[in-house]
Amino acid sequence: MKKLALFISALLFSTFFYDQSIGLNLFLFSILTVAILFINNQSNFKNRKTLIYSTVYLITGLTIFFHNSTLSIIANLVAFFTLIGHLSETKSSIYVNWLNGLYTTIAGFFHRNFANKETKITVEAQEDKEPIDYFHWAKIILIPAVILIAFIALYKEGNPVFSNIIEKIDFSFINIRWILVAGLGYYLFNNIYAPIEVEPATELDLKTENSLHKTDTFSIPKLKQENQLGVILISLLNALIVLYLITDVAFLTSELDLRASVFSAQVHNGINALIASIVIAIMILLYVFRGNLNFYEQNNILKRLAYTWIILNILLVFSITFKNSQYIYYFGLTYKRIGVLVYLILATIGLVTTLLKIGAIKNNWYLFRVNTQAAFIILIVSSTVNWDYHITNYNFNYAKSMDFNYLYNLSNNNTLLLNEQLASKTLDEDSIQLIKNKYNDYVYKLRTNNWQELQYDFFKLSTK
Amino acid sequence: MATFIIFVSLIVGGFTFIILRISISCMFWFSKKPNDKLYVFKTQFPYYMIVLIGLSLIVIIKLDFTYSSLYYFLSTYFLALLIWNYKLKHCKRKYSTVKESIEQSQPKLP
Repeated sequence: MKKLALFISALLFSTFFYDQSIGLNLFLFSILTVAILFINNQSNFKNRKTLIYSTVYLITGLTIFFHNSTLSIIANLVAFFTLIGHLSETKSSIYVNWLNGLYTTIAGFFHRNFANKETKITVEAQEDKEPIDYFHWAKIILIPAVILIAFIALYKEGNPVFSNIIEKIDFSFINIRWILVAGLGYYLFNNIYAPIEVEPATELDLKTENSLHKTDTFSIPKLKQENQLGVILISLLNALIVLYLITDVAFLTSELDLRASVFSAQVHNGINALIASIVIAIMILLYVFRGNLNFYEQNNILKRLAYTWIILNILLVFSITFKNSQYIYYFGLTYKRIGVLVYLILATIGLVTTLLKIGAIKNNWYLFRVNTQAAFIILIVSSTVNWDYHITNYNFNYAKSMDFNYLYNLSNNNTLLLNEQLASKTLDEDSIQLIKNKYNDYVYKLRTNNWQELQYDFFKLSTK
Repeated sequence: MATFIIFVSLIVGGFTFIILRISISCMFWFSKKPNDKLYVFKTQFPYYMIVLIGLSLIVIIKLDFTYSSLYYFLSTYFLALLIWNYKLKHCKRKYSTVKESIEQSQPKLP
């Protein structure tokens, strides 16, 4: 049953991907993967988290059908590794899931074969199997084949009827590459059907708790000194950030009608520096609250100062968001500007989790676990958005100015919208021609796509 | 032309084999327990394969998924698995660690 399922999957794999570009096939592959994993790991699929990861994986597959973007392909790949890694060990952290998922995909079959054989040898649970004599098998297959071919060649010369029959045999319908892709598909499904784990990393992860514990080196005089240093350092940093925020508010309220070049320089230089400052802020807090200082009874002032600093850093994030939003309003959306917003969301999550870490006396692993989980969620959510469409729509209809070349060079996900804009917007002749060319190429591509490469835009086109 | 292709393939294949063989041997030499095959397999093999695949993918992407690069790295991947298989199953050689060699050369002092 298992072998048959793998064999059918391999044939389907080659049907989906051989000589095809990405489209509906990746979604169908996602369904096939989930089906194979379900057949072989039914007990794990009773777990709620497994069902969530499977759904997320299918959703990312579906987003590729709706808008084929690099981000959605990356998200699909990450979700694939997450699901497989989660099935190998349901209690491990998400980054260990990625490692296990990647390892299973690369070498699951080899690992199972070797690890199982070694276990059998050490336990001596099974009787000794007779080793396979590969040389004997090679002899059985190769020697008769060579002799048969030689005799066919000889008989062909002796009888014209026999020669005609032999010449009529045509193997051209066999596509070696198709078979090779099917073979790879079989190997892939053979690797993933029973997920395995990178044992040292998984064991370490399962052993590592989220909470901090008091160590033997707990010494009141040393901690008193550390506490004093922390209080002075974070007080000064608090004062500095307050001063910065006051001047920032003054700057934003006084010069709202900035020139493009000034605003651009402000945003680019300012945001890079502020991004670095937030990362350094988190690192300083992690260093100060790395160990026994968390258990020092007189650390209340230090903790309050740390909370204040985190909240002020969050205010700094709002200030950057405001500047970035202003920039977007005046000069339109771009991937870099969206990237800044995504970074700001991640930074806010990082700051909030640092606050929770200090409050609940958690270790750095807790922070790493929560933040990687948050990054995964953001990746999945952002992959469901058709960014090219929304960038084009915003820049055409809401932004004060726009860069046409930037929009034109985006992927085909905005082509139908660009064509729609021709009717309502006034553009120069060159731009109109460029849009028409892009539209015609895309329509031709959609209409000539095979069913494996099908995209949602094809149906949109058909309903027009 | 065919001779040239075979000649180049042999040179590239031979060079790849030597690199893989040496790098896999290094995994054993620098392991804490070089004679414990299962230990080396569990601690070194996963990371070796992940790094190998990672590097191969980077080059494949840089070469824009050309057929030649795909075939070459697919062969490299299976060759690496074969060498690991050989090392884990058939290699009888015992590796000695630095610690062991020092201990052996020292007389047992009172």
